[in-house]
Amino acid sequence: MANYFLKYCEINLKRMVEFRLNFLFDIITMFLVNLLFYGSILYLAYSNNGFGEFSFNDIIMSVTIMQLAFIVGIGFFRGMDTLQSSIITGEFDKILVRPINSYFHILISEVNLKIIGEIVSLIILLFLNNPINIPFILVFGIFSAVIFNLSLLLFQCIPFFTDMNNEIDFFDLVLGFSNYPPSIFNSFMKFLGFFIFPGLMISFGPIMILKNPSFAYVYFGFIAILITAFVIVFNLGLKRYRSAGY
Amino acid sequence: MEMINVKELSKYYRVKQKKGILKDLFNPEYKTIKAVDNISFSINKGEIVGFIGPNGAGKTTTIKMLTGILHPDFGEIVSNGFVPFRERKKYLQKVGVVFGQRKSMWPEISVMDNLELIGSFYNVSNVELKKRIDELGKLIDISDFINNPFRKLSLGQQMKAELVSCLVYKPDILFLDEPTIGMDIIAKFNFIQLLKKINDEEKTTIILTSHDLSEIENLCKRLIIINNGKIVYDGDFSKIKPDEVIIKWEDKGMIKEKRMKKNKVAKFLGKIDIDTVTIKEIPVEEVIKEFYK
Repeated sequence: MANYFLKYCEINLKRMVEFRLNFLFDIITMFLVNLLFYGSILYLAYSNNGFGEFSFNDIIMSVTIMQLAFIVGIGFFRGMDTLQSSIITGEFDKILVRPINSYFHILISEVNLKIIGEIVSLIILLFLNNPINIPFILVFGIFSAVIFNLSLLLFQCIPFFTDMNNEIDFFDLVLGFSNYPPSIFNSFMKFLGFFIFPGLMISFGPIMILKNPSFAYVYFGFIAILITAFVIVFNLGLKRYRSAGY
Repeated sequence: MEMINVKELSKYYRVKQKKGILKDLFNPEYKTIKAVDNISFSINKGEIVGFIGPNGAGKTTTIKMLTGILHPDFGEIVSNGFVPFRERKKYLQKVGVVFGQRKSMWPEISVMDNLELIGSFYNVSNVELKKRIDELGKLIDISDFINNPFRKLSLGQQMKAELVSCLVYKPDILFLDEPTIGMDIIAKFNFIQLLKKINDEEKTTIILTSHDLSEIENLCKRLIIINNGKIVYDGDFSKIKPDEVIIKWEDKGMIKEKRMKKNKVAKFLGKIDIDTVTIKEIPVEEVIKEFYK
């Protein structure tokens, strides 16, 4: 599997190098977007001495975990973002005619190496954190990436059952929820932000475990439910898959 | 030895009927289309079978079920000892698929990079891959464009590259769904020769769909015709070839025409005064057309 992943990385690098100027421009733009985005959140948190029950340090940790989760998700496993359209157009056949695991193939089939700009912002964010917290951030960044990938994949499976693309920008909703501390939301919005568009779970879930270790049951329970739901939905979807043309 | 066995296979699609915006929203009506309707056939190892039918007849759906892409609604498939949709990963190790309408290569990278990536899925090392490309190159030469990005190739070149990508790992079965789209006459001729050679030397079972009957005639001894999801003919290609000819001759300045069995032509020609006579074979398309009705 690692062999295929490296091959895809190599191919994507070649693909991007073919349009080098565009590649360079995208890296710089993404770095600036991240700088502005995280800079503004951190500035607000610093000026207000944190947000509610979350201190400034908690906020730095949460944005770093979120950044790591998104880099893993949209950078190295970008293929999940194309699943929805490939089901509709029948391009999904391309995955199904190859003798490798189809979940894995979907995930690695697109590697977005333009995330170099985002990796630079992640490194800056890591430096802003207390070094003692780095191992926790790295481990929970990966768990949050699993939540992000699985929830997005589940959402991308909808066209197996509806034969139609979804107009909802799931990623934007997740991102929207991940920016703000849970305390500003009412219980319904909290439910949405933790379990439906799990931005809150991705960014603040790990911090809530630090504050209240029993939250780990919710966090890991949610991951287990997502894995089970994805396996069931994906396999049901494969049975219903229609491809395109008779 | 039996390679593919299909029993009572069916695949249905539900299609929404357009009845107006409000009706579609609150009370949608669906129609069930029987894309493949209770078909059975078996194919032996090393056979080349032409699988033809009009547009929307169910050819592609059948091929997609045979390759494990689609799950059948009813019936059984055993191909090369596997149930394709259940054991897809193992089964596809020895199966090649080319869809003329859908490319499986990555457009932005070169053909060689594509072949290396595809080869890695089938555990073909780069050394073996180059050796195989050289072997295949005698009949299907891709050396002129092997280092060009796939998207910059002509349709015919893309099809050649797609075919080579299937042959590098020496599949036991080759499914070709309209593979000669965009190929010129020479490329088509070479393609047919290549398939004959592969079938002869490696005993590869080939299932080919095409709208070009001359291609099927040149390659396939056996023909399966499908229409409205049902098999309407399964047998030797030679048996459906018309055994009649059309004779045109000049009689006292008048052009006359008669359709008759081939074995009666000599007797007939002996009876009439021959000045100018033309004997024309009835094209096989005319017979096939009857099956499509």
